[in-house]
Amino acid sequence: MIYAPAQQIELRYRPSYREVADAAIRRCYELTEEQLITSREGSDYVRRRIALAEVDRRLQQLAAMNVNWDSYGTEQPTQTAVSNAASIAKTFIEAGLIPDAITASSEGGIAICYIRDQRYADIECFNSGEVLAVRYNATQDPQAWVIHANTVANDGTVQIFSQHLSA
Amino acid sequence: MQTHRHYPKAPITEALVDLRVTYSPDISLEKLKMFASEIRSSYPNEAPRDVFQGQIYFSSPQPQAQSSRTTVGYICHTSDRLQAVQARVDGFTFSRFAPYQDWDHLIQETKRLWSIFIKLLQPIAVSRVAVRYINEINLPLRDGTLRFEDYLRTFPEIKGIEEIIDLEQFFIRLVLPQPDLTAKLVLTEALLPPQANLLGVILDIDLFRENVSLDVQSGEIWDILNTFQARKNKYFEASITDAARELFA
Repeated sequence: MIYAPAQQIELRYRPSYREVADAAIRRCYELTEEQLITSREGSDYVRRRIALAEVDRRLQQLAAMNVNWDSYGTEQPTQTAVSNAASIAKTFIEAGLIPDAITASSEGGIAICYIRDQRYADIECFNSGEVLAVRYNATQDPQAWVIHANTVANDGTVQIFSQHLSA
Repeated sequence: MQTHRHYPKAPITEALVDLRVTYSPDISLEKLKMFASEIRSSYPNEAPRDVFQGQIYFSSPQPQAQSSRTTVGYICHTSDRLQAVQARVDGFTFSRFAPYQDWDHLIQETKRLWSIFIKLLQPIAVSRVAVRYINEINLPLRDGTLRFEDYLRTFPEIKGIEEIIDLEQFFIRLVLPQPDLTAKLVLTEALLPPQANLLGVILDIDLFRENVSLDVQSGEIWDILNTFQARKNKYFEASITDAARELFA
Protein backbone atom coordinates (compact mmCIF):
# COMPACT_ATOMS: atom_id res chain seq x y z
CA MET A 1 0.00 0.00 0.00
CA ILE A 2 1.26 3.48 -0.77
CA TYR A 3 0.82 6.05 1.92
CA ALA A 4 -0.16 9.64 1.21
CA PRO A 5 -1.25 12.24 3.77
CA ALA A 6 -5.01 12.26 4.13
CA GLN A 7 -7.31 15.18 3.50
CA GLN A 8 -9.14 16.45 6.55
CA ILE A 9 -12.51 14.77 6.76
CA GLU A 10 -15.13 15.79 9.27
CA LEU A 11 -16.91 12.86 10.86
CA ARG A 12 -20.42 14.02 11.63
CA TYR A 13 -21.79 10.74 12.91
CA ARG A 14 -20.03 7.58 13.86
CA PRO A 15 -22.30 4.70 14.88
CA SER A 16 -21.13 2.95 18.00
CA TYR A 17 -20.72 -0.79 18.10
CA ARG A 18 -23.08 -0.62 21.07
CA GLU A 19 -25.80 0.41 18.63
CA VAL A 20 -25.14 -1.99 15.81
CA ALA A 21 -23.67 -5.16 17.25
CA ASP A 22 -25.22 -8.21 18.85
CA ALA A 23 -24.17 -9.34 22.34
CA ALA A 24 -21.32 -11.60 21.21
CA ILE A 25 -19.77 -8.94 18.96
CA ARG A 26 -20.25 -6.34 21.65
CA ARG A 27 -18.42 -8.53 24.15
CA CYS A 28 -15.59 -9.03 21.69
CA TYR A 29 -15.24 -5.27 21.17
CA GLU A 30 -15.49 -4.57 24.90
CA LEU A 31 -12.76 -7.11 25.63
CA THR A 32 -10.51 -5.56 23.02
CA GLU A 33 -11.26 -2.12 24.39
CA GLU A 34 -10.29 -3.25 27.90
CA GLN A 35 -7.08 -4.78 26.60
CA LEU A 36 -6.22 -1.61 24.70
CA ILE A 37 -6.74 0.51 27.80
CA THR A 38 -4.54 -1.86 29.82
CA SER A 39 -1.93 -1.73 27.09
CA ARG A 40 -2.04 2.06 26.93
CA GLU A 41 -1.75 2.41 30.70
CA GLY A 42 1.17 -0.01 30.81
CA SER A 43 3.54 2.29 28.95
CA ASP A 44 4.67 5.65 30.25
CA TYR A 45 5.70 6.64 26.72
CA VAL A 46 2.29 5.80 25.23
CA ARG A 47 0.43 7.58 28.04
CA ARG A 48 2.51 10.71 27.51
CA ARG A 49 2.15 10.54 23.75
CA ILE A 50 -1.65 10.27 23.98
CA ALA A 51 -1.78 13.06 26.56
CA LEU A 52 0.24 15.34 24.27
CA ALA A 53 -2.11 14.60 21.37
CA GLU A 54 -5.10 15.37 23.61
CA VAL A 55 -3.54 18.64 24.75
CA ASP A 56 -2.89 19.61 21.15
CA ARG A 57 -6.49 18.85 20.17
CA ARG A 58 -7.86 20.73 23.20
CA LEU A 59 -5.70 23.81 22.55
CA GLN A 60 -6.87 23.90 18.94
CA GLN A 61 -10.45 23.97 20.23
CA LEU A 62 -9.65 26.78 22.67
CA ALA A 63 -7.79 28.78 20.00
CA ALA A 64 -10.91 28.66 17.82
CA MET A 65 -13.20 30.16 20.47
CA ASN A 66 -14.90 33.48 19.89
CA VAL A 67 -14.88 36.55 22.08
CA ASN A 68 -17.70 36.57 24.63
CA TRP A 69 -17.56 32.76 24.74
CA ASP A 70 -18.90 32.80 28.30
CA SER A 71 -21.54 35.49 27.63
CA TYR A 72 -19.65 37.82 30.03
CA GLY A 73 -17.62 39.46 27.31
CA THR A 74 -14.42 37.54 28.02
CA GLU A 75 -11.76 37.54 25.32
CA GLN A 76 -10.90 34.32 23.55
CA PRO A 77 -7.45 32.84 24.33
CA THR A 78 -4.71 34.61 22.36
CA GLN A 79 -1.98 32.87 20.43
CA THR A 80 0.44 33.85 23.22
CA ALA A 81 -1.70 32.07 25.82
CA VAL A 82 -2.08 29.02 23.59
CA SER A 83 1.62 28.87 22.89
CA ASN A 84 2.56 29.20 26.57
CA ALA A 85 -0.03 26.60 27.57
CA ALA A 86 1.29 24.16 24.95
CA SER A 87 4.86 24.55 26.12
CA ILE A 88 4.02 24.26 29.83
CA ALA A 89 1.61 21.32 29.40
CA LYS A 90 4.32 19.47 27.46
CA THR A 91 6.84 20.05 30.25
CA PHE A 92 4.40 18.80 32.88
CA ILE A 93 3.38 15.75 30.84
CA GLU A 94 7.02 14.84 30.27
CA ALA A 95 7.36 14.95 34.04
CA GLY A 96 4.45 12.53 34.44
CA LEU A 97 1.82 15.11 35.40
CA ILE A 98 -1.05 14.69 32.95
CA PRO A 99 -3.58 17.52 33.28
CA ASP A 100 -7.11 16.79 34.49
CA ALA A 101 -8.51 19.66 32.46
CA ILE A 102 -7.46 22.46 30.17
CA THR A 103 -9.99 25.24 30.04
CA ALA A 104 -10.47 28.79 28.91
CA SER A 105 -10.06 31.23 31.77
CA SER A 106 -12.70 33.79 32.64
CA GLU A 107 -9.82 36.24 33.16
CA GLY A 108 -8.74 35.77 29.54
CA GLY A 109 -6.35 32.96 28.76
CA ILE A 110 -6.00 29.25 29.45
CA ALA A 111 -5.84 27.27 32.68
CA ILE A 112 -4.13 23.87 33.01
CA CYS A 113 -5.75 22.17 36.00
CA TYR A 114 -4.82 19.33 38.36
CA ILE A 115 -7.14 17.92 41.00
CA ARG A 116 -6.37 15.12 43.50
CA ASP A 117 -8.89 14.49 46.24
CA GLN A 118 -8.95 17.80 48.14
CA ARG A 119 -5.79 19.16 46.49
CA TYR A 120 -5.87 21.55 43.56
CA ALA A 121 -3.20 23.16 41.42
CA ASP A 122 -3.27 25.01 38.16
CA ILE A 123 -1.20 27.04 35.74
CA GLU A 124 -2.92 30.11 34.37
CA CYS A 125 -1.57 31.35 31.06
CA PHE A 126 -3.02 34.80 30.61
CA ASN A 127 -3.57 36.50 27.27
CA SER A 128 -1.04 39.15 28.31
CA GLY A 129 1.72 36.55 28.36
CA GLU A 130 1.92 36.45 32.14
CA VAL A 131 1.85 32.95 33.65
CA LEU A 132 0.78 32.17 37.22
CA ALA A 133 1.08 28.91 39.16
CA VAL A 134 -1.49 28.35 41.91
CA ARG A 135 -1.94 25.58 44.47
CA TYR A 136 -4.21 25.04 47.43
CA ASN A 137 -6.03 22.38 49.41
CA ALA A 138 -9.02 22.14 51.70
CA THR A 139 -7.11 23.49 54.71
CA GLN A 140 -4.67 25.98 53.21
CA ASP A 141 -5.05 29.33 51.52
CA PRO A 142 -4.04 29.45 47.86
CA GLN A 143 -0.38 30.10 47.11
CA ALA A 144 0.45 31.71 43.78
CA TRP A 145 3.70 32.57 42.06
CA VAL A 146 4.75 33.94 38.69
CA ILE A 147 6.55 31.56 36.33
CA HIS A 148 7.96 31.77 32.81
CA ALA A 149 6.93 29.35 30.10
CA ASN A 150 10.46 28.86 28.81
CA THR A 151 12.03 28.16 32.22
CA VAL A 152 9.29 26.13 33.90
CA ALA A 153 11.20 22.88 33.35
CA ASN A 154 13.95 24.03 35.68
CA ASP A 155 12.35 26.43 38.14
CA GLY A 156 11.03 23.84 40.62
CA THR A 157 7.34 24.31 39.77
CA VAL A 158 6.99 20.74 38.47
CA GLN A 159 8.45 19.38 41.71
CA ILE A 160 6.22 21.63 43.82
CA PHE A 161 3.14 20.42 41.91
CA SER A 162 4.25 16.76 42.17
CA GLN A 163 4.77 16.99 45.91
CA HIS A 164 1.56 18.93 46.45
CA LEU A 165 -0.57 16.48 44.44
CA SER A 166 0.99 13.32 45.88
CA ALA A 167 1.08 14.53 49.51
CA MET B 1 16.67 -14.11 10.04
CA GLN B 2 18.89 -12.66 12.74
CA THR B 3 17.41 -12.67 16.22
CA HIS B 4 20.00 -10.61 18.09
CA ARG B 5 21.39 -7.37 16.69
CA HIS B 6 22.52 -4.19 18.28
CA TYR B 7 21.53 -1.05 16.43
CA PRO B 8 23.45 2.20 17.05
CA LYS B 9 20.24 4.17 16.41
CA ALA B 10 17.76 1.69 17.86
CA PRO B 11 14.19 2.99 17.49
CA ILE B 12 13.23 1.87 21.00
CA THR B 13 11.39 4.66 22.81
CA GLU B 14 10.52 2.59 25.86
CA ALA B 15 11.70 -0.81 27.03
CA LEU B 16 10.04 -2.07 30.14
CA VAL B 17 9.87 -5.00 32.51
CA ASP B 18 6.54 -5.38 34.27
CA LEU B 19 5.99 -7.66 37.25
CA ARG B 20 2.46 -7.83 38.64
CA VAL B 21 2.23 -9.01 42.21
CA THR B 22 -0.17 -9.99 44.94
CA TYR B 23 0.24 -8.28 48.30
CA SER B 24 -1.05 -8.91 51.75
CA PRO B 25 -4.32 -7.02 52.35
CA ASP B 26 -2.67 -4.21 54.28
CA ILE B 27 -0.85 -2.74 51.27
CA SER B 28 -1.47 1.00 51.00
CA LEU B 29 -0.32 4.06 49.10
CA GLU B 30 1.65 5.09 52.18
CA LYS B 31 3.65 1.87 51.94
CA LEU B 32 4.22 2.34 48.23
CA LYS B 33 5.50 5.81 49.00
CA MET B 34 8.15 4.22 51.24
CA PHE B 35 9.60 2.64 48.12
CA ALA B 36 9.66 6.02 46.36
CA SER B 37 11.45 7.52 49.38
CA GLU B 38 13.99 4.71 49.52
CA ILE B 39 15.12 5.21 45.90
CA ARG B 40 14.96 9.00 45.95
CA SER B 41 18.73 9.45 45.64
CA SER B 42 18.75 7.84 42.18
CA TYR B 43 15.10 8.47 41.16
CA PRO B 44 14.33 11.91 42.61
CA ASN B 45 11.38 12.91 40.42
CA GLU B 46 8.31 11.38 42.03
CA ALA B 47 4.76 11.74 40.75
CA PRO B 48 1.49 10.01 41.57
CA ARG B 49 0.53 7.27 39.15
CA ASP B 50 -3.14 7.72 38.34
CA VAL B 51 -5.77 5.87 36.39
CA PHE B 52 -8.85 7.41 34.89
CA GLN B 53 -12.22 5.71 34.91
CA GLY B 54 -15.23 6.85 32.97
CA GLN B 55 -18.75 5.52 33.18
CA ILE B 56 -21.93 6.33 31.35
CA TYR B 57 -25.24 5.49 33.00
CA PHE B 58 -28.12 4.79 30.65
CA SER B 59 -30.69 4.03 33.33
CA SER B 60 -32.23 7.50 33.40
CA PRO B 61 -33.88 9.22 30.42
CA GLN B 62 -30.82 11.49 30.10
CA PRO B 63 -27.57 9.44 30.06
CA GLN B 64 -25.21 10.56 32.83
CA ALA B 65 -21.44 10.53 32.47
CA GLN B 66 -19.11 10.27 35.41
CA SER B 67 -15.35 10.14 35.51
CA SER B 68 -12.89 9.70 38.32
CA ARG B 69 -9.18 9.69 38.85
CA THR B 70 -7.57 7.31 41.30
CA THR B 71 -3.98 7.18 42.46
CA VAL B 72 -2.73 3.60 42.19
CA GLY B 73 0.91 4.17 43.07
CA TYR B 74 3.94 6.26 42.29
CA ILE B 75 6.24 6.72 39.33
CA CYS B 76 9.77 7.93 39.96
CA HIS B 77 12.09 9.20 37.22
CA THR B 78 15.82 9.70 37.25
CA SER B 79 16.92 13.32 37.08
CA ASP B 80 17.70 12.93 33.35
CA ARG B 81 14.27 11.26 32.87
CA LEU B 82 15.79 8.37 30.94
CA GLN B 83 14.56 5.77 33.43
CA ALA B 84 11.47 5.36 35.55
CA VAL B 85 10.25 2.87 38.10
CA GLN B 86 6.69 2.42 39.24
CA ALA B 87 5.36 0.93 42.48
CA ARG B 88 1.65 0.35 42.16
CA VAL B 89 -1.09 -1.48 44.01
CA ASP B 90 -0.85 -4.14 41.30
CA GLY B 91 2.90 -4.38 40.90
CA PHE B 92 6.22 -3.05 39.73
CA THR B 93 7.47 -1.67 36.39
CA PHE B 94 10.90 -0.52 35.32
CA SER B 95 11.17 1.52 32.10
CA ARG B 96 14.12 2.70 30.08
CA PHE B 97 13.45 5.44 27.52
CA ALA B 98 15.44 6.48 24.45
CA PRO B 99 18.34 6.22 24.00
CA TYR B 100 18.14 2.53 24.84
CA GLN B 101 21.29 0.94 26.20
CA ASP B 102 21.05 -2.84 26.20
CA TRP B 103 19.28 -5.77 27.77
CA ASP B 104 21.97 -6.30 30.41
CA HIS B 105 21.54 -2.77 31.67
CA LEU B 106 17.75 -3.08 31.64
CA ILE B 107 17.72 -6.33 33.58
CA GLN B 108 20.45 -5.36 36.07
CA GLU B 109 18.66 -2.16 37.03
CA THR B 110 15.37 -4.04 37.21
CA LYS B 111 16.95 -6.54 39.59
CA ARG B 112 18.43 -3.81 41.77
CA LEU B 113 15.12 -1.97 42.10
CA TRP B 114 13.12 -5.18 42.47
CA SER B 115 15.25 -6.26 45.44
CA ILE B 116 14.41 -2.95 47.19
CA PHE B 117 10.75 -3.30 46.23
CA ILE B 118 10.34 -6.79 47.67
CA LYS B 119 12.32 -5.95 50.80
CA LEU B 120 10.14 -2.93 51.62
CA LEU B 121 6.74 -4.01 50.38
CA GLN B 122 6.98 -7.77 50.85
CA PRO B 123 4.69 -8.88 48.02
CA ILE B 124 3.44 -12.44 48.35
CA ALA B 125 3.91 -13.66 44.79
CA VAL B 126 4.45 -12.60 41.19
CA SER B 127 1.27 -13.14 39.17
CA ARG B 128 2.35 -11.81 35.76
CA VAL B 129 5.71 -11.37 34.03
CA ALA B 130 6.11 -9.14 30.96
CA VAL B 131 8.69 -7.61 28.67
CA ARG B 132 7.55 -4.84 26.37
CA TYR B 133 9.46 -2.85 23.76
CA ILE B 134 7.86 0.15 22.08
CA ASN B 135 9.64 1.31 18.93
CA GLU B 136 9.01 4.53 17.05
CA ILE B 137 10.20 3.97 13.51
CA ASN B 138 10.40 7.17 11.48
CA LEU B 139 10.00 6.32 7.82
CA PRO B 140 11.16 8.79 5.16
CA LEU B 141 8.47 10.18 2.85
CA ARG B 142 9.32 10.81 -0.79
CA ASP B 143 7.06 13.38 -2.43
CA GLY B 144 4.78 12.89 0.55
CA THR B 145 4.32 9.18 -0.01
CA LEU B 146 5.87 5.88 0.97
CA ARG B 147 5.41 2.16 0.46
CA PHE B 148 5.03 0.41 3.81
CA GLU B 149 6.33 -2.84 2.37
CA ASP B 150 9.71 -1.20 1.78
CA TYR B 151 10.23 -1.03 5.54
CA LEU B 152 7.70 -3.25 7.28
CA ARG B 153 6.74 -6.85 6.85
CA THR B 154 3.53 -6.48 8.83
CA PHE B 155 1.42 -3.68 7.42
CA PRO B 156 -2.09 -2.85 6.23
CA GLU B 157 -2.80 -3.77 2.67
CA ILE B 158 -5.80 -3.63 0.37
CA LYS B 159 -4.88 -5.99 -2.38
CA GLY B 160 -6.20 -5.08 -5.80
CA ILE B 161 -5.85 -1.30 -5.49
CA GLU B 162 -2.73 -0.15 -7.27
CA GLU B 163 -3.11 3.61 -7.13
CA ILE B 164 -1.94 5.78 -4.22
CA ILE B 165 -4.29 5.53 -1.27
CA ASP B 166 -4.80 8.32 1.25
CA LEU B 167 -4.40 6.91 4.71
CA GLU B 168 -5.09 8.94 7.82
CA GLN B 169 -4.75 6.26 10.50
CA PHE B 170 -4.08 2.62 10.94
CA PHE B 171 -3.96 0.43 13.97
CA ILE B 172 -3.03 -3.23 13.82
CA ARG B 173 -3.12 -5.48 16.86
CA LEU B 174 -2.13 -9.11 16.66
CA VAL B 175 -2.47 -11.37 19.70
CA LEU B 176 -0.14 -14.30 19.13
CA PRO B 177 -0.13 -17.16 21.66
CA GLN B 178 3.35 -18.57 22.32
CA PRO B 179 2.49 -22.03 23.66
CA ASP B 180 6.11 -23.07 24.19
CA LEU B 181 6.57 -20.09 26.54
CA THR B 182 3.08 -20.35 28.09
CA ALA B 183 2.77 -16.75 27.04
CA LYS B 184 1.13 -14.35 24.62
CA LEU B 185 2.79 -11.85 22.35
CA VAL B 186 0.81 -8.76 21.41
CA LEU B 187 2.18 -6.96 18.38
CA THR B 188 0.70 -3.53 17.81
CA GLU B 189 1.41 -1.17 14.94
CA ALA B 190 -0.02 2.31 14.69
CA LEU B 191 0.55 5.45 12.72
CA LEU B 192 1.75 8.70 14.27
CA PRO B 193 0.90 12.10 12.79
CA PRO B 194 3.28 12.91 9.89
CA GLN B 195 6.00 15.49 10.55
CA ALA B 196 7.98 17.17 7.77
CA ASN B 197 9.29 14.37 5.56
CA LEU B 198 8.89 11.60 8.11
CA LEU B 199 6.05 9.30 9.03
CA GLY B 200 6.26 7.67 12.46
CA VAL B 201 5.06 4.13 12.95
CA ILE B 202 4.77 2.62 16.41
CA LEU B 203 5.87 -1.01 16.59
CA ASP B 204 4.96 -2.24 20.05
CA ILE B 205 5.85 -5.79 21.11
CA ASP B 206 4.44 -6.92 24.44
CA LEU B 207 5.23 -10.45 25.62
CA PHE B 208 3.72 -11.70 28.86
CA ARG B 209 2.88 -14.74 30.94
CA GLU B 210 -0.04 -14.32 33.30
CA ASN B 211 -1.91 -16.32 35.91
CA VAL B 212 1.29 -17.53 37.51
CA SER B 213 2.31 -17.61 41.15
CA LEU B 214 6.06 -17.27 41.38
CA ASP B 215 8.06 -16.77 44.53
CA VAL B 216 9.24 -13.15 44.56
CA GLN B 217 12.84 -14.31 45.18
CA SER B 218 12.72 -16.95 42.45
CA GLY B 219 15.39 -17.00 39.79
CA GLU B 220 12.71 -18.29 37.46
CA ILE B 221 11.47 -14.71 37.02
CA TRP B 222 14.76 -13.75 35.37
CA ASP B 223 14.93 -16.94 33.32
CA ILE B 224 11.48 -16.17 31.92
CA LEU B 225 12.44 -12.59 31.14
CA ASN B 226 15.60 -13.70 29.30
CA THR B 227 13.56 -16.12 27.20
CA PHE B 228 11.02 -13.40 26.46
CA GLN B 229 13.70 -11.00 25.34
CA ALA B 230 14.99 -13.49 22.76
CA ARG B 231 11.45 -14.08 21.45
CA LYS B 232 10.78 -10.36 21.31
CA ASN B 233 13.93 -9.89 19.21
CA LYS B 234 12.78 -12.60 16.84
CA TYR B 235 9.44 -10.89 16.22
CA PHE B 236 11.02 -7.46 15.89
CA GLU B 237 13.45 -8.67 13.25
CA ALA B 238 10.65 -10.52 11.49
CA SER B 239 8.59 -7.32 11.34
CA ILE B 240 11.09 -5.11 9.52
CA THR B 241 13.00 -5.13 6.24
CA ASP B 242 16.67 -4.44 5.52
CA ALA B 243 15.72 -0.90 4.45
CA ALA B 244 14.35 -0.31 7.96
CA ARG B 245 17.51 -1.80 9.48
CA GLU B 246 19.55 0.73 7.53
CA LEU B 247 17.61 3.50 9.29
CA PHE B 248 18.88 2.23 12.64
CA ALA B 249 22.51 1.65 11.58
